[in-house]
Amino acid sequence: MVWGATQEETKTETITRTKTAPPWNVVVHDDPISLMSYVVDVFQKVFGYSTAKARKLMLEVHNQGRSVVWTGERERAEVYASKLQSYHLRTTLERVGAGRD
Amino acid sequence: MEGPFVEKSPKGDLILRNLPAFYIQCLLILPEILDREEEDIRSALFPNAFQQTPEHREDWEKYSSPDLLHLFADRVEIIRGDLRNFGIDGATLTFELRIPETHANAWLAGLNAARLLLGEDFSITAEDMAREPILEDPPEDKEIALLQISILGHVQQMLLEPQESHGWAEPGEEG
Repeated sequence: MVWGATQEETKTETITRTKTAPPWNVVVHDDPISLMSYVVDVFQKVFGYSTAKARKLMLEVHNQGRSVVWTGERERAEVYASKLQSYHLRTTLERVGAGRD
Repeated sequence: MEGPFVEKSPKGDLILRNLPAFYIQCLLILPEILDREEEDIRSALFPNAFQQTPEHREDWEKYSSPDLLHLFADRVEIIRGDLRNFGIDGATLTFELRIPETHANAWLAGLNAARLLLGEDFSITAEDMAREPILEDPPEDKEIALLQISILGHVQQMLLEPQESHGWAEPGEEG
């Protein structure tokens, strides 16, 4: 059936696109003001990370100026970036494999 | 005299106790620090997350920015309302402030926003943050800002302490 075949093709195309879409990094950048304990707290709230993982990421931000705190599909990355910004952490989104700003 | 500290009431409210007068002065101007033109708030606190990919910037402006600005405005109102609840401890002549548990996230974020805005206004650097404010007579505006950032940070730290052991309500439960 033509109509059915068309629908199937569309479905296959959608799945292929989703599978091949490049993942995105959620990147938090250092600022001189935010308390370390606050940054740890926000990572735990937003991602549900353990204290140890949240502390490790916070120290990466502090020592290296930035840290990739999550990687995955774009829609979820946008949600996480928005949540992190709502707590006023400097956050950007980068396509995996793209160069830094 | 004992310094400022936080207590949790049986209802879960946070009570900041033993606050000296200069802490109160600092907290009372929080709404003033946070009340800015929308464009100033957007550029200072909510920059477009798609710095590298201009083709996605419009999505951020359309979907994320308005929500962030609304949440920010709601949080400022929560803080403004809670600041009406100052009390005085007659025995120690210090002040206390009661913050409902569901307002804790608004306060934590609001305090951070105020510190960041002061930091931007007065070009506060990491080196500045590592030193004590120089309070000559009269003190420079930057040094006063550095003192305010420090005091607001202390309040933020006090609010984080009980949270580290118990956790607060989810952000969506504010209000």
